[in-house]
Amino acid sequence: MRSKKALLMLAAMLLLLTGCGAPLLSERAVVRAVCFRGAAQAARVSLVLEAAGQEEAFQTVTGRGASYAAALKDAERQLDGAVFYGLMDLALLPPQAGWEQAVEIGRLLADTALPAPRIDVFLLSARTVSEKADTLYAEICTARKKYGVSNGLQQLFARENECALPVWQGTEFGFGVLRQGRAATVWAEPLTAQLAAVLCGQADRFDCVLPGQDFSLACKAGVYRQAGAGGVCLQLTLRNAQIEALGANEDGQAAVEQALQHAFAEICTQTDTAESGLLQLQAWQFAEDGRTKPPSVRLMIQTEQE
Amino acid sequence: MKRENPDLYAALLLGILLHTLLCAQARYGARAGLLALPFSAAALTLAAVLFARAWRQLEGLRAPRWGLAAVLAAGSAFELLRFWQLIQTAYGGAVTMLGVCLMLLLPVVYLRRVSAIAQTANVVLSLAAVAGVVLLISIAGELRPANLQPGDPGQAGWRQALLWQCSLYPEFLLPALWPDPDKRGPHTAARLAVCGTVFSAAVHLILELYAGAGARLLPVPVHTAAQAGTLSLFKRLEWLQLILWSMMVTVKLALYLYAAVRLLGGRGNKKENNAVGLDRFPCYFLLMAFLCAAWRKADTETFFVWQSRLLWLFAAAVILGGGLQYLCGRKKRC
Repeated sequence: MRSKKALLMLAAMLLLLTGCGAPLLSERAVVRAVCFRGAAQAARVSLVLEAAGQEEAFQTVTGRGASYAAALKDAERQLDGAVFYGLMDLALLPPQAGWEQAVEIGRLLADTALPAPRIDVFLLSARTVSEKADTLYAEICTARKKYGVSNGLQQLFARENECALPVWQGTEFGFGVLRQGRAATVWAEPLTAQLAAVLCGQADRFDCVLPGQDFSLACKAGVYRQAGAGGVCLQLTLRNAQIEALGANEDGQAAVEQALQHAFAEICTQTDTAESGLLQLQAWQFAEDGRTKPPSVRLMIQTEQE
Repeated sequence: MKRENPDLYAALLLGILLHTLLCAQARYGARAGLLALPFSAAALTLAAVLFARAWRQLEGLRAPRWGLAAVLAAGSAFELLRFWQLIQTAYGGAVTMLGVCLMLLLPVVYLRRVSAIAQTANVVLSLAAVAGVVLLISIAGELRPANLQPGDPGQAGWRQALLWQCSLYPEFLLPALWPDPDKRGPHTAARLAVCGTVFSAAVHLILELYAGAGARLLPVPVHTAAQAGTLSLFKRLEWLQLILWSMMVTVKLALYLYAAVRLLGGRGNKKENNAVGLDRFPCYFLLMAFLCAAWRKADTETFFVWQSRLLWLFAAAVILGGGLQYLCGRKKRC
């Protein structure tokens, strides 16, 4: 008798814990990308959704608000709140976004877009800001496979006070560095941008025409860092390099090495390599001799044919 | 003998690893954690060994037994709530609290026997080791030594590492409650402390390799890292982690229930040396249901911080009381 009463009480208590059942995945709007545009007080957030049973592959829903969080909520509200971020793989930041804005958006995504696998984060450039979000998504998905560009949401927070992101320029990628309290540095020239991406670990190949239009370069690339008493040496390895002459000059190897060294010098000049973690040098120098600022940085280029 | 008093080391270790996986993660820098490790392990070992010695002098007293039982009951409820909040955070609305409670509490009936707890814990520990290796392989490409934070962590960094590594969990104190304490040496406490602190430091190192300075900003860093795994065999590794974590929580709940029954008077019953009676379960389920409903919106992180502080105070009081009792006993014999 006592156990029956206990079981009845248990059943009654369990009923109190009954919550609303979750909607099925097929009943949810599946988000593939989120595009942030506008500025503070006039933010726009576009959700790129899978268009089930329609001719187009994707559709877009745009929300507006005084902040990015409010705009995202506005967009979700248009979908009756049944949103699924589990298949999301791209986030686009507005052009001219500063470090503070990027971190704000990153935190919003980290808190909101769950469950989500690896999300790649890109900056938009001024010339692509007016394109439709679903068109941007399709273009960027094709391009990032071609150029081997990938980063991850955690890259926004991996270093204190700065982050580096690829910049989508319409047909190819640039590369930008956002730092707290300073103007963004953006490299639009393809070789410089791709070298910066490779050195930051966000790309694994080169596929571009060199400055001067003499040669085109296509190869896989890897970077090895070696720290010593004199500083850090970045060993850039070009694997199966295909150097095609576009002009009269036939010395492709020398031209490529010269162009890469020039691009490297430009990157070092525009970012303070001693202070910045962009080239990921501090940990290596610290492991070598306890110093967090490498006294010098140099680039060594070698090629491999498999 | 082994059937009556099986070794519960695996279950205790699982409880400590679970704390690291679900709660105390990305709390300190990897370098500070690795260097503070020996001091933390030593402090925890000392506390556990002294508590075990002192407990023998005081285990007849009702107040410390009921107090520790209350901590275990609250800890069980907050484990359920923490797992439910993880599901809510990672898969908002996918499983209700009722579903989580049923999933985690019903298997405790099977684990009412101590031998079942020991065997299941060994299996789950092995699975956790395999899953950990699979997770590491899957995110190996994302681990970057350049993400390690160089430089001196400073006094605040050292203090943070020591405080979090020295969190006192009930698992360090529970071996004092098991039958035949004279047959158990201090090696259990030492192994638990060393394995727990090493695991905590290793998880922090992996998270820092993965996310750099931003590891502390990720909402559930270990789960986020598991989601990033792209091993072709398991595209979505986080489900593997969630299944394992639910099994670990169930073993922990069964362990706490067994310990609470011993504290509340079951230790004198030879039958209850190796099993929790079936008649205890309706009250147990009711109590867990009530506590979960009442603390549904509570902050689990704050609870576990206060639980550690309370257990340090409790351990200190028992050590002091046990020491006084021992000295008074010696004086009387003299």
